[in-house]
Amino acid sequence: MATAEAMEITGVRVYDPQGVTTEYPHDVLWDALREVEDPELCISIVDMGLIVAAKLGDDGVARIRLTYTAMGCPATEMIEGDIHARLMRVEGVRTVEVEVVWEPVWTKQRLTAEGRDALLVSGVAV
Amino acid sequence: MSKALFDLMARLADNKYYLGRRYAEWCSSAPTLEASVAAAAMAQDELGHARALYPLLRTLAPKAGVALDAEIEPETRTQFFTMMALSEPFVGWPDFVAANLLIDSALTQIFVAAQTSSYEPLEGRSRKVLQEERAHNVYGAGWAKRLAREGGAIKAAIEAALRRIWDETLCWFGPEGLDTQSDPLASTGTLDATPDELRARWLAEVGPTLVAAGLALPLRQNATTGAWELTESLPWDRWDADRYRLRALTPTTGSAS
Repeated sequence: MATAEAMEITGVRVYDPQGVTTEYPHDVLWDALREVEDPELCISIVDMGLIVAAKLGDDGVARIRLTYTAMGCPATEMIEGDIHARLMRVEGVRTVEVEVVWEPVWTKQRLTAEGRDALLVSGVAV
Repeated sequence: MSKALFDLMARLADNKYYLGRRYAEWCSSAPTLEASVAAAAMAQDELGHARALYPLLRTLAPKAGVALDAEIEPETRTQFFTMMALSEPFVGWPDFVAANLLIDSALTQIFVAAQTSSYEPLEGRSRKVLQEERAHNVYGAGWAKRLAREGGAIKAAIEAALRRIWDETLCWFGPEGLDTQSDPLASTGTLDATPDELRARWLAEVGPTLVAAGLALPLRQNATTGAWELTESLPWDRWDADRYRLRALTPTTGSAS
């Protein structure tokens, strides 16, 4: 298992007149995760701020830490299944390990600017 | 210590689970459509909290000397640490509101006391639980005031519902008279308060709501110290320390069964 320090990628805070959002890294894993959508909102799980850390080890293990907006999220198995299916198509990924964490606590500040705009268009107040 | 920690986590998980089930039973039958939606949302929260707590029992059980298969899996558990008040469906909407105001907030007090817990998995979940619980407390207080304002039989019904679960909720925090050294959870830093301190914090939270609504429960605010105090002693003779619940009164004799 990767160490906590090595996994700790939480994005960069962005400040604009509409509030605080977060930008997340671009690499082979993060970009693949951008193609996985929250099934309820049809917004990328990266734009939703659900991915806390993503790292591909030399052993071919893609280690993902994610959180959810709510502990009672009914779509957890679906999202984790979609993550697994998408990352297994990334070159060099032998297996995928997903760990659900509750820290950092999800807040709307974890949204990207794109995620915030997409939610507003969907009629969700953020 | 391991057993005390296991028991704490088991009673948190079980009561969250059963509170979620009780809320869920009102998802389509609350007095208003909005209340039904709120019941569904709160049920989802409580069941989610239980789902995040149950896996911890599996790692705690061996250290606590608890048999895995018999006592951990929800399907095979032989003993649930569920309050008597949550063991049966709510009879009416006042019971829902009473549990929302008193029991839900009592469970939340444990997570407040665990924000710096020495048991890291509990600490890590506490902040998320507290984030989600904020609306529950507001909702329960709002409905209690609304029902109290109606007066007459409606006010009497919410008072009676609150009174039915009052003693058990207070006892649920744990035995009286333990200091930090003698309480296994406070002494190990699992929680930052003894049972008496948890009770006092909870009384300070719900006391103002109850008094402002004119609901007659056996408590008062000390004019000198400002602390909230009970005006009746708790029925410890009916307390089941193993299951963390009150034994029911038998209807004919009034004695504990």
